[in-house]
Amino acid sequence: MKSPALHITKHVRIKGDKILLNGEIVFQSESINLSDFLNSAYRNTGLNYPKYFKMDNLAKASILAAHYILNDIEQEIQTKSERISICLSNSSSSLDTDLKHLKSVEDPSNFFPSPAVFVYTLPNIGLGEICIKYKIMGENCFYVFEKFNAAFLSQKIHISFADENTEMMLAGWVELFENDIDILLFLTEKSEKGLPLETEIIENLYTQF
Amino acid sequence: MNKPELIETLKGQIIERLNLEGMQTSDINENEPLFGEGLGLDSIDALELIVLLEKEYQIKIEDPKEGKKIFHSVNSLADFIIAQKA
Amino acid sequence: MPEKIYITGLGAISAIGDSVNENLQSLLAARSGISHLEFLNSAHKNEFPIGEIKKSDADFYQLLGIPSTAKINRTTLLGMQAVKEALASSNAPIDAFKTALISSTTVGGMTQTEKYFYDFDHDLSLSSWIDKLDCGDSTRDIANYINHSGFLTTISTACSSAANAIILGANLIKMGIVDRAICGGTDALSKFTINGFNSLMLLERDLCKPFDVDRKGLNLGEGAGFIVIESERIYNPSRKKAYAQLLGFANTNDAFHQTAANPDGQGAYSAMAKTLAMANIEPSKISYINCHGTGTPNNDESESKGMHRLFGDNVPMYSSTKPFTGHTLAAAGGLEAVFSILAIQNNTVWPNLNSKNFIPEFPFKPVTELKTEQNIQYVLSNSFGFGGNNSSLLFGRNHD
Repeated sequence: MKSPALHITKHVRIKGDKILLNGEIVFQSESINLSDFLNSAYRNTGLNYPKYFKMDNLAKASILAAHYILNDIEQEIQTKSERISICLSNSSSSLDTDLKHLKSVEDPSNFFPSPAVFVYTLPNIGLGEICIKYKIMGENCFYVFEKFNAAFLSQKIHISFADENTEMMLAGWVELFENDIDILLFLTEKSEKGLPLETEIIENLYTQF
Repeated sequence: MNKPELIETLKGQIIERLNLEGMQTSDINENEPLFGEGLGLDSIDALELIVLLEKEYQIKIEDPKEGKKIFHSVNSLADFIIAQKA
Repeated sequence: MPEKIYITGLGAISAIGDSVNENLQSLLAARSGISHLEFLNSAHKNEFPIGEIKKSDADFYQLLGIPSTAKINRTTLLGMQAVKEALASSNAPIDAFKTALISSTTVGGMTQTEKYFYDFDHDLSLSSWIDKLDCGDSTRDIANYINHSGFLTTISTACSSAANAIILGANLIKMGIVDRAICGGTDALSKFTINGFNSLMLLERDLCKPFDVDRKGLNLGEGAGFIVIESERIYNPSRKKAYAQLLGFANTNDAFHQTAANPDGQGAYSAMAKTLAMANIEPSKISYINCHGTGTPNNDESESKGMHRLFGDNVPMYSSTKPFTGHTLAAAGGLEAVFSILAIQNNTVWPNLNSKNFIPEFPFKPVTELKTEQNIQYVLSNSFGFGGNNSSLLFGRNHD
């Protein structure tokens, strides 16, 4: 099967107290906790999306990473809705929010489970939030692995582009638990420019920061 | 609690419960629709308001469809609470 | 779709049976497994009808031949049972071919974590339950049980998870990465889920009635459903004649809301339409649709709209089997894949139980009585999850 020339045209890395876009630091902040970091980063982007504050940390982090990549091509994306795919992965699934929900159903003295918290007890809701914001309507899935799996991401992207209709694919790793964050999100396109879509290149994007 | 006090309290509780970041109570007009236009709340927010009613005011709403009239505005919500407590 | 994919193994456990055959007998008898909670200790015990499997965890340890000291959570026990059955029915051991195991779950080990939540601090012997909370741990335990050491992953996309597991398996086969895949999903009941769905006001206090004009919500259930799919490169009908073929599949997002489908039916329509396009099959050829049909006002409206858009007024026979099993969340796509394949094998359409008065807007209604002696050639199976994740699978009669 002959694949079109696939290249990684943009990538975002969020780790510790830094956000890097295509290898350059675009935001850095020592915050008291991850929630604080994600809210500060949001304000720094100048993004006007009030729904952000209703999301859990995983969805916020997903939206933030997607913003850096998709912000300046937002209009183009809306013309290609069904031809854009998205594939995210991590190892903790939605555990960060699961435990918050669990606390609310296990305390008989304060038994008021919050629907807004429960909504986020699935790792693909953050992915869904990206789709809602940018009107991405193609193939979308969430995979749980023990650790970052560059080989799988490469294979999965090739699988998606085997469908000729696919024009772009957002893929990556969105690991988040309590105050630890470890994100790599990248955009693959049918393009001659950018980094070649290869397992070693993806692995390198992850390990170099 | 009288109605103006209740309205002010409700505004604060709504802002907190629904994570309406950066909003003050003075930003909410009690006659403005909460859903659709106005504050633009959605169906999950409606469910959160049902939890708020139960937690803060001990009023239980069984059918989410009842919520539409009650949650029309902060004003209608205040009227509902006052009527229930009477 | 250039490469053929054969289904050579089936495994199922649900409120209507501990095996594929038991599930089949219940479907043929139109016998639902919805009841009230006995094993799970929830504040909502008598409030909501539920598809609970009437077996304790101890019963499962015995059934699976595992010592109870192994500390395996309920979700994993169900998964082990269904995977064991699926693999055995394929007539090829785990190491016979390059195989992927793709499981899915939303609950993971939560049933045990929530049980011991306040005890972990002072009883260290319980800590291994926390170690097994993760979705991925469930899959790894299942893999260890069947001695699988190849490709392994877990999908977690809510109610479309198992269908997406099957789609990934098929794609890995098409790309030549593996020759065979064991795909499906498993979820046990938990207070976490019951309370969560209750907070979203999605639960029905009576028996669920999909597509009924008075429907109010879903009944939850637990279970596991897995299928074994094989590449035509290794398929050998003398070893095992396939139950059916997987002819097409698709996954889309309707980009509308975190927990509700766009009522215009876009999600259902796009998933089904793309599936038929992939298989190059006309809508008029579809014999039966096993719907997602949860019984919620939102899903059944949007799924009906989607079917109307795709099929016009000539919607094929359709039903939801969730009144039999309850909504088994991550397992639903796997269990319903099995039920779709059983429909082909038995030339039978399963009834949509409980529902009587249908949505007047649509000039079609589901099948309400068991229909035998049908000519079932092509079956669509729909699974739509939170996060706007919509998947459809197309199964066809196997002649090879």
